[in-house]
Amino acid sequence: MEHFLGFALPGIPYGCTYSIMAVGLVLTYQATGVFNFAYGAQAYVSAYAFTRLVQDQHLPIWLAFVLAVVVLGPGLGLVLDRLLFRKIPTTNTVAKLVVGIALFVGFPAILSVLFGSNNQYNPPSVLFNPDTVYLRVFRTPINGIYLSTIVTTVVILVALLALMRLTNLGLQMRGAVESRRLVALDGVNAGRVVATAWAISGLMAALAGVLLAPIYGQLQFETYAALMVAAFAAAAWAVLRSMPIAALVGILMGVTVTVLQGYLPVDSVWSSAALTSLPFIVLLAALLIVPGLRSLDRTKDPLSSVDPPAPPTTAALRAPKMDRGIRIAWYVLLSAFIVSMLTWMPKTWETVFNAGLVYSVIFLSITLITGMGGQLSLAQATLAGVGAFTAAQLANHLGLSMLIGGLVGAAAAALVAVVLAFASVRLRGLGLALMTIAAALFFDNTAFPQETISTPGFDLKPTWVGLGILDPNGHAFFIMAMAVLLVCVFVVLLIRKGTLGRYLGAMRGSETAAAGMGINLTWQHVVIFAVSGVVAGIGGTMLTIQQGTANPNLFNYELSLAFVVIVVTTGVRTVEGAIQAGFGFVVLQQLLTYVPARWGGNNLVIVFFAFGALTYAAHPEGILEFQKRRWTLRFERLLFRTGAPSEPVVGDAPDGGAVPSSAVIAPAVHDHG
Amino acid sequence: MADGSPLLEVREVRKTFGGIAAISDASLRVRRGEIVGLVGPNGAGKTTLFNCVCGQLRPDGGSIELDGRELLGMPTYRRARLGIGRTYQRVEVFPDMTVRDHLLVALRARHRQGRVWKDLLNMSAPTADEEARVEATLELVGIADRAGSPVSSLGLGSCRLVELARALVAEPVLLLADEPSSGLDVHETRELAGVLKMLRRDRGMAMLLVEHDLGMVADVVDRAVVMDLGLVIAEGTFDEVMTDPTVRHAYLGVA
Amino acid sequence: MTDGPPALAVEHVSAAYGPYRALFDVTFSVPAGGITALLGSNGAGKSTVARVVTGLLPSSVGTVRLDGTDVTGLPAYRIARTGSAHVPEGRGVFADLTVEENLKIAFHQRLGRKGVPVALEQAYGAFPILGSRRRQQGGTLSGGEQRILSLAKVLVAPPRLLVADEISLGLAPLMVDAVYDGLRRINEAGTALLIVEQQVDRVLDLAATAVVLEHGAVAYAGPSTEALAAVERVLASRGERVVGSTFVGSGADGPAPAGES
Repeated sequence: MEHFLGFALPGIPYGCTYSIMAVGLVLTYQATGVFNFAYGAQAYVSAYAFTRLVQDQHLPIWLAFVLAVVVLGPGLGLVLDRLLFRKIPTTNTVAKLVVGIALFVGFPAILSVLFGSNNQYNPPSVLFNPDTVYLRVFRTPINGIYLSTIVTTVVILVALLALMRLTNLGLQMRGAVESRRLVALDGVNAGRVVATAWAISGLMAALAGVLLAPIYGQLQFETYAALMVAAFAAAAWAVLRSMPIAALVGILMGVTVTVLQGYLPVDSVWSSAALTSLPFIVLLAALLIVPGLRSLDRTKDPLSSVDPPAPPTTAALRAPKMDRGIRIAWYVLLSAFIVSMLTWMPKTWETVFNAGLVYSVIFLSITLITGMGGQLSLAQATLAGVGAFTAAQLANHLGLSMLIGGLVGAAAAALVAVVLAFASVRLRGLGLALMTIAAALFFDNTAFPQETISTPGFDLKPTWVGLGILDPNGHAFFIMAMAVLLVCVFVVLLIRKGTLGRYLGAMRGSETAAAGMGINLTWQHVVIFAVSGVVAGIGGTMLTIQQGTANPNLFNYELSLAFVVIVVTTGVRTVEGAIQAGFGFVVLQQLLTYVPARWGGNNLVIVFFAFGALTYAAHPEGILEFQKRRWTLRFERLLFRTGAPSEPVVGDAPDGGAVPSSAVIAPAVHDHG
Repeated sequence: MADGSPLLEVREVRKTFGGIAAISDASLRVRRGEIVGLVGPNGAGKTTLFNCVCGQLRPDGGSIELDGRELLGMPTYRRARLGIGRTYQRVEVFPDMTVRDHLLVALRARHRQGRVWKDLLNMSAPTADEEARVEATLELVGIADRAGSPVSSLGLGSCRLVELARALVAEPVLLLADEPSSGLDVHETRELAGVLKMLRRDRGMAMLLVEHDLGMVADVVDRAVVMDLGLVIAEGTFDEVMTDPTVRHAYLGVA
Repeated sequence: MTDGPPALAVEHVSAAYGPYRALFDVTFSVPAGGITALLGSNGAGKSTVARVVTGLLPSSVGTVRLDGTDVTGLPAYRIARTGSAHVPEGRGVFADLTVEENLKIAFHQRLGRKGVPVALEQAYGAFPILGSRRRQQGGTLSGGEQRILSLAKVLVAPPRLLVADEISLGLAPLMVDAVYDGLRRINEAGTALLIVEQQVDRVLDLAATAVVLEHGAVAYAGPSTEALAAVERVLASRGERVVGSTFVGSGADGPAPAGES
């Protein structure tokens, strides 16, 4: 018994680290309506500031604490609200997620760019002295760190519960989350309420960051990212609603980890696996078991009909003459590109553009699942990896040509995607996104590192690439990549114009009506996932050939997130968007190699795209798409001097003054019960 | 055709939500070629019953048969393919699509399970037959002039008509319409009633309507069923039902 | 009718949803303590007027005055605090909050913390059905019960001006009676009413003045006794006729409308 307690008790403060983050995440969701992916990043920013202020600027701890937690925490929260989240209508779940992901991806990158990438060591402790043992429970020493975390958890939990359940402010926050307009009709200043919510959330994040920092010898973003995953799991079990449950699950997870580690042999692979895998196993279990997660983010703002209708895509606006002009321009550009690549293009740029083609294929898979399927999948890099590793291993062990292997890999990726689709069949929106993250983490932590799957860094032999001439250093690769991309584009366009595309459009519009018409939602869901998997798998194989190596670092979950951020910026609904994303990604990286940075300008690229994705709030069609529309319309007017104005017409609504969007959200006389 | 044989048979259906009995015992029947009006105060369970028939909700007891075939356990899309058409209390149109596309998708979903390879072989363009049916339905409902507009640019009345057309294009044997005239003005309601009567006359379509507009109900339905607090409290012709003392007390508030 | 500035004065208001214009130069007023009906066919702009009056939608041109004070351009919450209330079209309750919490938000704002318990008792007394459902989530109430809840908020803490948008939509006749009863009562206590309706004869019974909108512009503004004729005129210009409030009979009254089969 003592043995058990000896293992279990230290698990409590360990689990409290999860609980602190989880409770903050749930609070943010309850108070702002946003599942804040960036919560961990906010925590990290404050921890970083605190440590730097104490260690480099030599400020006294209390002052650094005030600046980093009391000022920076809420301040950052207010900025996020004012500049970003306020612009997103409550009903736009994807935008809320995407902005959070962009912040999650962008924050560490921008800190790295601004302050250099040196990690800080031994962050100072605020509450209790970390080394002093304060008491003993069942002969287990409880030291300062343990005490800090436990006390913090309890205080935060009690305070936040009181806020949300007992105060009028908490009530107003919950009302504002559902509908800012409705709450305004009751006389409540929704703007101020929401800002307060973000400030409180920011404060909690900062507090968590600073108080947790001394537990880890080295202050790095990855720690907080890992804590976030555990926080997702605990929050999921709490259905994003109950803070006590989130705290409890967090503690249970901590205890489970330490108990397992205690009983398992110290050096075994299971021991370390338990630590890293438990969070996403718990997350997966929640997503499969907890019914409340199926209807996350489903309430509709009853007054959303006051918003003006969404703008049409550029393609819909172009005059036919302009349309033809643009099409011709594309063909010309394409031909010029092909000719150039085959003749005079310098080697460096040829490699860059080859990579561009490959990434375009991978990004097309995002166009399929997110643009057409309407679901946010955060596992596309993972699917690409499945394809890549399958092909590589077949080449390695069976000497199979990677071209054939690529097809097998695509099938394998499709299979994984189908499993994912079935596992997530009742989830939509946020729940689905979390499921895909769980899958990505699973592969990152258990499958990809296995030696049988990816001997890290093994180099491909040219003979594996089929006919031997498809050597990434020759023109032949370019021809193959170009051909594959064109085929994929063709396939996507056919599907979009075809029955599947129409069904998906109906599902995006209203799943109820779609099912009521005879559309088998599950089947469509599975099919689009499978097709997306095939395309991602093909892209993965091609990436492996192009890079010359099958490396898990090319396919981890951070890249899955980054990919989504990138494609969303250029436009997730169109094929053009995917191609622009693919080329933009690699060209930018190349251009930024002239700027000193950690690994080849990647951080700056991420920052750039993250900023782009932040504009998703105001321009859900993609910031690039928005700019294209403006310029296309101006150009049109210039060239053709047509009546097509540069701004939308202020004229009568088509149905004789009828309110356009109220038609879609009709009087909701809900006869329920 | 309209031969008066039972088409929809609802028997002793029960449904409870978290301790509250939305429907405690509902039975009704719709025969081929007849229009039945389902009326009653709010909270009576009418939309809940619709949702049970269509498959969005699973009742806790009872049975629902379409043409002798038990529907319980069958997913919504399969019931739709058997020939149940539905319009919704809150208009559920597809904001991105044009009116014509709505009908086309509905037609395909009912009759043709889209295969991806057909898409890839580019055999997915609308066929002449499909186009003809879509045009005919647009004419029938009276929205042919708006066929190319995206629904997001139409008013509520037009959207309800689009929903109706979408349900009709697949030629259902049974139409379930949930407050189809809600939010429509007098002119549009009159048009709607005309369409419904024509469908009964020319196609023998059976319908179950939830309605609050008693004038329209009086004009259109063959029989009326009154629900209150989860129970069917009266059944018969419109006049019979409206003179029933229990109904007058519960629904109309008169002695 | 009492003396003083009109409860609501709308002057030359135009408004748009993004690029779509919905109101054109609308002018009318609700006399102090009076009741005005706002009529018109679907899409005529009635809800738009309601939204502009309570600040949900900004007007591009024109002024809105409440009790003589210019409130044009103020955010909705400020207008609400000056004493107007809006029962919106459709579901006007918070689905995720309980009945009691829905009421609390409104009462706390309008009456302060001390006033909340008394107001709750009053609400449950006037509408026992809310009392029996007080811990239920707003979204699980039926349509009529949700409307009652919206109404309870304003009836217990009566505003100076109440804008009710399609308040009888989808309600059974029995409930509509209860609703209009409540409206009559608060008007007698001094609240001015602007009632948006499609059911013309109910509201014309109650209202002294009426405004008829067509295509976003005012087609008639004056005593309600002549409003019915005005509505008929408007519909006649489209080749239609109206009989009473609901459609009764099939073409037995006058010329058949164009397009009927």
